[in-house]
Amino acid sequence: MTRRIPRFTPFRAAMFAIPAAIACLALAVFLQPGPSQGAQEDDMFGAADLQDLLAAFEDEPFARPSGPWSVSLPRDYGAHEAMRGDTWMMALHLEDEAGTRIGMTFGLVRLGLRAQAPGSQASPWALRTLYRGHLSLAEDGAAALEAEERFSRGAGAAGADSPSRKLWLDDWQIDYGGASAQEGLTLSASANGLPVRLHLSPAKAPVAMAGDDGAPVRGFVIPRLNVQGTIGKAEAERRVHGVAWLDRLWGDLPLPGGPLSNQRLILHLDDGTDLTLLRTQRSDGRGLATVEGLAVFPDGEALPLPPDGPGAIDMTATASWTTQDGSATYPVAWQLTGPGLDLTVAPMIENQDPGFALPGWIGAVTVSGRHDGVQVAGMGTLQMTDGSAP
Amino acid sequence: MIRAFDAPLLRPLCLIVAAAPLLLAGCRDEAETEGDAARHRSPTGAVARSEQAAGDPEKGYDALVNEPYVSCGIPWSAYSRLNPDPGLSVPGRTGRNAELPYASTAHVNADGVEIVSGNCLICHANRIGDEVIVGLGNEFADFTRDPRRLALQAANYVRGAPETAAWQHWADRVEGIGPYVQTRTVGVNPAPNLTWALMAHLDPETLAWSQEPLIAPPPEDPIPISVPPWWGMRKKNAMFYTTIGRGDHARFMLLASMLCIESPEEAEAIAGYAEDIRAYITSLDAPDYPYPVDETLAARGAEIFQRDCAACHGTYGEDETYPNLVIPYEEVGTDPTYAVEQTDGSRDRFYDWVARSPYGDDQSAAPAPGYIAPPLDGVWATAPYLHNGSVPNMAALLSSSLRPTFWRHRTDPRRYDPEVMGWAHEVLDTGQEEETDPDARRLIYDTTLRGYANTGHSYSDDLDDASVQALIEYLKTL
Ligand code: HEC
Ligand code: HEC
Repeated sequence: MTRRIPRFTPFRAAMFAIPAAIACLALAVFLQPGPSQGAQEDDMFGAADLQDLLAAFEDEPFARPSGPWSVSLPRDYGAHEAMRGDTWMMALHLEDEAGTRIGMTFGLVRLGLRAQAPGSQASPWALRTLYRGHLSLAEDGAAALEAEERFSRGAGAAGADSPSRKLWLDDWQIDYGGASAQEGLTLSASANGLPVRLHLSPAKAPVAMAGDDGAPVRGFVIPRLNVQGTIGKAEAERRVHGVAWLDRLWGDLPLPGGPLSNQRLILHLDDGTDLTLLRTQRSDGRGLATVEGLAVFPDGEALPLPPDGPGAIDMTATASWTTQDGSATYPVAWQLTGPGLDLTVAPMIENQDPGFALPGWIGAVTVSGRHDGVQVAGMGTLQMTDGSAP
Repeated sequence: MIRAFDAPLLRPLCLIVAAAPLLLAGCRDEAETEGDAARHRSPTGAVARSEQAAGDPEKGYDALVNEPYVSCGIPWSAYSRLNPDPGLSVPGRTGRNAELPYASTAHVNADGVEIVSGNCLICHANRIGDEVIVGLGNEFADFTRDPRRLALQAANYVRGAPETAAWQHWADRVEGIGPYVQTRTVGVNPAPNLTWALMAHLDPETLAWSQEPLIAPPPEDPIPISVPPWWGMRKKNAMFYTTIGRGDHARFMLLASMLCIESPEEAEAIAGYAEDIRAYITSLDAPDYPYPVDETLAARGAEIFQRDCAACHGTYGEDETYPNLVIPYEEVGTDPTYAVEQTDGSRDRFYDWVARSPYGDDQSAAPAPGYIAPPLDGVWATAPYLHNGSVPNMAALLSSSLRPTFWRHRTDPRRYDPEVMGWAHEVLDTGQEEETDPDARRLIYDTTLRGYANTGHSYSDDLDDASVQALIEYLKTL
């Protein structure tokens, strides 16, 4: 992972697969009524039901990303409502004033079910859009995470408003540069009553995830944003600061389910390098696993990490954690090796199963090792779609 | 500053859809020891004619472009999200196929899932200008990538149990062949190795798939092959460069449809229209040269051809002859790897496989230790030249000192150069080893690699420039 490797383009698969994985994680939950059914879920986690349910909406004439495109902010922070779906996902790596590390993820998904015919006056109660949000907080030394997820059918309770540059789900809100706001994003949310109020300002330029190449999904990442804010209620409020990663995608997002398992890592190293890796394998455990990714150096230079050849990174699981009911086992610790790279990734807390509607593990990790011959450390986020593949 | 990753990620999918078939392979008989080698071999020299069953070319074309002889692939719902562009078509496509690029075919499987799979035209059709020429070998296909990654990528939109089962069937096959079908450079074809890898996983009698190989697979690195034009089969008494494909051609060529095969019954059903496909293939004529020809110059070239070339390649025009000659690889001097490996005993287990399978019998096939001197009809269209596609154009084929050691196609757009008779290319100073960028490396034709050499066939090296010009002019008329 040194930039002496000339630029090449094999991020193509990841460009697509990363969005896919994220969307799966984010949407996984959508259409499952009620809380997680843990042990009853089989590996396909009701994908067939989901399929049925969504089949009714499959032929809706949503727009597809097409034509030349480049990231434009703040426009592209906002929703693309002509498309079937949008996702916003942040991985935040924070520290309070006492130096306690806090890992946080926040996600918001909009899934269109019916395309809006121009000028049509549908009832505001018609089911046309679903929203799902989640927030998870993992604090070093805690026994488990604080996690909450929410669903909404829009209709005012959740939505996206481009003129005022706001996205919301109940009282959770992202403000991305309304007239009064600073540059960047302001997030107000809460996990089980614990309020979080953070401002994120980009420290690196966005990196586009796809161009005008006909991909069904388009989007960008901002690999590093500086974060300032508070967590907690008035009397127990703590000031926190740190860095965040933002994934922003829209288009024909893949729905949850399907024959693949994914593990996705997002790492912020203290030498200023940001790294994301996506490992993909068949859920039945057969066949080749691929690892692709993206490294972004301190000056913002982005290097796609190819699945093979001289720049490839090896991702080996070194420890796993099994849910209490034994229904799933997650590889929670990893060794990463590649050119100029040798990193050990360990979970901050082992049990970071957020208990969302569909199984998964979304948690904070710590990272240490060497990058280009220099000792590095950092924090990261690990997301796993299901616990079936070792 | 924003950087877009530029690669067109979806293009390679078409290819993989493709990861179809393959072909080649072997021959009859079943013994596996050296003693039996004679059963798997033919002599060099003239290839005798063998009787072929008659078929209906029109039905054959319809089957070729519409029948699901490759029976597994990507579920349509996933395919259409990844590949919304209908691409180029060919006439006679019916139903869903009319909406698909010409090299993909759709069918509904037993579980009711609509599947898109690759067809023969992945390798056996190519575009000149905007026109798709069915039967012209595809010299631009990219087989350098690991198809297993593409199979995983395709799964991102596969949902529900029936689609998942269909995808897994295909992905299992791709997993089996993945390591054996990655060429070093874009444009050359791994089809023979693909066929052998499939045989390693398939029981020859039940055609049941085994995830673990049943016999030793071929070496991983495929020998690069340039796809010959189908219209040559009008004259050829055996199929393939080493004339390995003898006996019943129609059945033998179905090895190219074997990627997904599950039972002898399925193979029989496909064999039901194979004779028609063969009849279509042998009915094809070479496309005419589309640019002006200097007739006087060509007439001079005809004399030179008659003198220096016709003994091996036959005569054209009024008095058409074709000797069907296999020239020993030592004599023609082109890269020997392919012919050597087909005849040194190292592939005999696959020839045994064919003899035991529905695709052949003891009469089927036997390679000769050499290469066929091919019919030169439509040779203007078949660049790059030689069995491994190592020589970019006719001028370089005819004067071996002009052959570049390292070169790459100029694409975007590709351009045909009538002067030298071939696709425009760029000569490079260094080969694959010096290039660290994998995406640039895969574009380099490096003739120092094993199997990629551009030696031999120096029959016209002593001609002066004017004679070479005349000869090229004549070749345009074939
Ligand atoms: C993956 C690419 C690929 C596909 C798909 C493919 N072929 Fe081929 N085909 C080849 C190559 C390469 C050769 C030359 C091999 C050799 O001569 O050793 C060939 C040769 C042939 C030949 C002999 C031509 C000659 O002049 O000797 C026939 C006939 C043929 N293929 C038929 C088919 C049919 C029918 C299908 C579909 C069922 C098919 N092929 C699918 C790559 C392919
Ligand atoms: C002794 C027999 C022999 C003679 C004489 C001969 N050739 Fe060939 N030619 C071959 C063989 C064998 C091949 C196939 C070699 C291979 O693919 O490795 C071949 C291949 C070719 C090809 C490549 C066709 C393709 O599509 O890749 C061309 C063109 C060609 N010959 C033209 C000529 C011309 C022109 C002459 C006369 C100057 C000539 N040959 C003389 C045997 C001969």
